[in-house]
Amino acid sequence: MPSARLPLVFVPWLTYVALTVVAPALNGAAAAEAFADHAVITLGVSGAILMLWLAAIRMRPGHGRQRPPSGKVAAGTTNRRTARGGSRTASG
Amino acid sequence: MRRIRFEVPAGDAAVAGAALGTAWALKAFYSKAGFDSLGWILAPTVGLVSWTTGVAFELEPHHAYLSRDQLFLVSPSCAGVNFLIVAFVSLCLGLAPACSRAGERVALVLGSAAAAYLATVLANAARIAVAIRLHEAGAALGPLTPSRLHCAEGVAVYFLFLLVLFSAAARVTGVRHAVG
Repeated sequence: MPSARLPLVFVPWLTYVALTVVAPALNGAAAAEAFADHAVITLGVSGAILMLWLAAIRMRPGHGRQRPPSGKVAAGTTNRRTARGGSRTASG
Repeated sequence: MRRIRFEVPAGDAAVAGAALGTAWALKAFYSKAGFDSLGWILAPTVGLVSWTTGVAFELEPHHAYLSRDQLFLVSPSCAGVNFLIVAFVSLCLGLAPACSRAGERVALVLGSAAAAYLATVLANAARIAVAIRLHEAGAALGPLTPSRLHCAEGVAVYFLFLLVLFSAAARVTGVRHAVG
């Protein structure tokens, strides 16, 4: 069964949005007139920065390139892909 | 059908519990804290702002730091405690998979608290320094009124610092993905 792989930078973004937008909204701040402004600005600015950050990571040289398997393979191990997508090599 | 599997080992759950419990306690403290209770975070922040910008702040006892020249106030709502909570929780939740022993998990929680505090002082000082310049210039941009611009600037500075802190910590610990 495949596992989901979420880019790590989503953790700070989700935490930021949870604490600055979701938690105040659940505590009744959504009724305040200024909250809509705050929520739109927070989601818009942080979302835009997150997208730029992800784009910069993808454009970085070497992104997505897999390390070639090591030439030396110890007895009893394999450098073929396992079910979880990893590989076991002698030198690691 | 492709199914997404979320596996949370017991050690990671313990770190998450400690982080969220601390965050809840800090949030509860901050909701009632007055100016005098926040000196541990406001004083170094204002000191750093004064040192980097040259703007002098006066202590208004039990109330705020005030720059009379700039007509700029640093009050308890500017303390950056929400950012401190976000940085601490992000580091704990995101980097927990890198820990395999109990000692490493304790070190992660303590190290995250220290890193989050330092990052908060730096990020908040940078945010206030830029805000002073924007206030001085009376900057506004179309629908971005000065108050909206102040809010947007705060989000941008805080979030950039959060990403830099988190990416640096992830690089140090070798964590690459949040789930999987």
